[in-house]
Amino acid sequence: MSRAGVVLCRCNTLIDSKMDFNTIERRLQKHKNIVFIQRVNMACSPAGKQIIEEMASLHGIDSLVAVACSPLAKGSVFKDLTRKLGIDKNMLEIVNIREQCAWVHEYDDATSKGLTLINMGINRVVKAQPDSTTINCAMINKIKCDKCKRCLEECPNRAISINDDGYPAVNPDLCQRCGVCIGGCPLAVISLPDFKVDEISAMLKGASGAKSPFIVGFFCDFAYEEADKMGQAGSAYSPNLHIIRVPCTGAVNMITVNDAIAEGVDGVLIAGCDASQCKRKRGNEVARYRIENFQKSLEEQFLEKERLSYVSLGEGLKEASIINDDKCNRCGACQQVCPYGAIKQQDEGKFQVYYKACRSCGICAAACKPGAILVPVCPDKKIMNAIDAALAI
Amino acid sequence: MPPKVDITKCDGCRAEEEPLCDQICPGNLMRLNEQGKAECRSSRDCWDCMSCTKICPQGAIETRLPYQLGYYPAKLIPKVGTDKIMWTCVDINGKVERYVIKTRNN
Amino acid sequence: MGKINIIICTNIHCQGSKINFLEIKEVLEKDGYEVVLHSNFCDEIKRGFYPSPFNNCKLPTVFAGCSPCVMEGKLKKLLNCPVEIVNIREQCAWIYNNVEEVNKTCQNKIFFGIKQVKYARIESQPENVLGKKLKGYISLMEKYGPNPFKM
Repeated sequence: MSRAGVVLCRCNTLIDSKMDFNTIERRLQKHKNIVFIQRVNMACSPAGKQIIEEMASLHGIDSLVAVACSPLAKGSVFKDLTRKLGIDKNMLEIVNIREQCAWVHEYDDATSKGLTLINMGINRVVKAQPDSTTINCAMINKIKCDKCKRCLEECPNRAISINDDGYPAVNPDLCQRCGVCIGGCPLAVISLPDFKVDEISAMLKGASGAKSPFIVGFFCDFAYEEADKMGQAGSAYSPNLHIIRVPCTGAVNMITVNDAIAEGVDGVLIAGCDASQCKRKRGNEVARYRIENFQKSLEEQFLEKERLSYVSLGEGLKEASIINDDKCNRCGACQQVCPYGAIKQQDEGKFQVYYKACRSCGICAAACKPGAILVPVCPDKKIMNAIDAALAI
Repeated sequence: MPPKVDITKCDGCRAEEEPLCDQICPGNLMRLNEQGKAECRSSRDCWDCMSCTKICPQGAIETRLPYQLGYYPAKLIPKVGTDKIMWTCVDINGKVERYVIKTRNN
Repeated sequence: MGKINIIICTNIHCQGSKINFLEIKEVLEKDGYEVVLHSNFCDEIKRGFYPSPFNNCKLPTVFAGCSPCVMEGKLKKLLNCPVEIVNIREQCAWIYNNVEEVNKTCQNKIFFGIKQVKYARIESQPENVLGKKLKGYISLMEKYGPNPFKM
């Protein structure tokens, strides 16, 4: 029986002014796995951390559900905290109720969606198993693996090879933790330290009692960031969408989607990058292929194929880099280093940034010897000015 | 009745020498043919256990129901999740019924 | 100098009581900047708008408060002017214990922000791509009705 602690972060009234924490607390009270529910003003502040530490040591918890902001914002704070508390890193779940719930929905919708999200989070930590290994790469469960070698073919980084015993083995130096092998494994025996198929399936069980139509979104890291951005800007969207973060769209195993459909989820959205943008080289390509296949199987079951759909967000959400053709010496280094494949050579030899694919990371600007590339959000001048200012102080 | 392989969907598990349906079949009846697609080598020996239908990652195998149980368009379609199987049953009148059965996979 | 607005959030839960904000404000005002102290900035913006206390609210603004990861996007939308965020919470108030050190770092950080604010620009607000795509999808799902596997 797992003992989970739930921390509700008020974020200095930015969250609890938009949703009803009292209702949430009351509804969670009956949950058999929760040993305490603690409301803190700011979970990331030294005072907040101290309260959580005290409560954790008082109740002796083995898992923590942090109901707070996006894991992209303060995730490291909670990871650090669990390390300090001696809780296994797998037993932490951060439920994003700020950017993806409180800031984008109306009061009542936010409360009920928040409750569903928290339930999903609790299901995940209850299902999660502590794992003492420190290897941070894909792991293959040899007991269930039947050596079909799909992972070998699908790994974009060629990190998986056949071992002497005939089973696939992951090279930790090459593995980028994209999870494409997880999505492709027909028996779902591959897992990442922070992404396991059975945990995701457990999360989907929290869906019951939610507003219909219940939509689950599997958002890749970039799409998740973009959803957060919508939250920051306060652009409202329907509260029916419940977002689960995945490393890449290619990491969504169709077994998980089967689980979702069996659980009564009305629609599954897989959100990732536009075609060429994928940092994982071919994650979205394989995802689209799998989705196409799954849609056929949905139709076989007399279901509508749109119940599983792919969407791409964020085209042109970030300001693209600009290449100054007068300075460019056409060396092509930028094209080689761009992780998103956004830079293409035109017919007349010019290099150009495709604005939809650019994520403004600045790697091309750093690689450009003649200094022809301008990153609008952080130009060279700004960095030089910062250095001057820092030296002057 | 033998399993029927949809050769447009079957990718022969990317031409591995032993595709998943071959590995799972209790009677060792499945094999790859010259085109690299799965086929049932001896349809009379099939017990209709549906293991191959459930395991196929492409969803390419269909188990035809024996005519004693139901003739066209009766169908039985399993889709496997982590700890449950969704069954879609179609009877001879085309009526669809659905069940979710828990399994003890874990 | 001048022509820069400065907002400082002095929330006691965030910045603690070690930083002498009045003194910093005095120093900044001596240089001709317009400075506003907020004792609880979050509370003021929770309704979703920010009544600007400045004479010219469109001037480049330095916001000294929490880390950009907390509410950079929200802030930029609210203020609708070029914003440079100075992190005096996570990278100053929460890591130093020494009163003198905190004050000095805080002041330096704000001056640093003032030097950098000229590179900030008004960013166009992102289009609500998710909202639009989701709307179409949900109306489709409503048309199809609930999932028949739902018990």
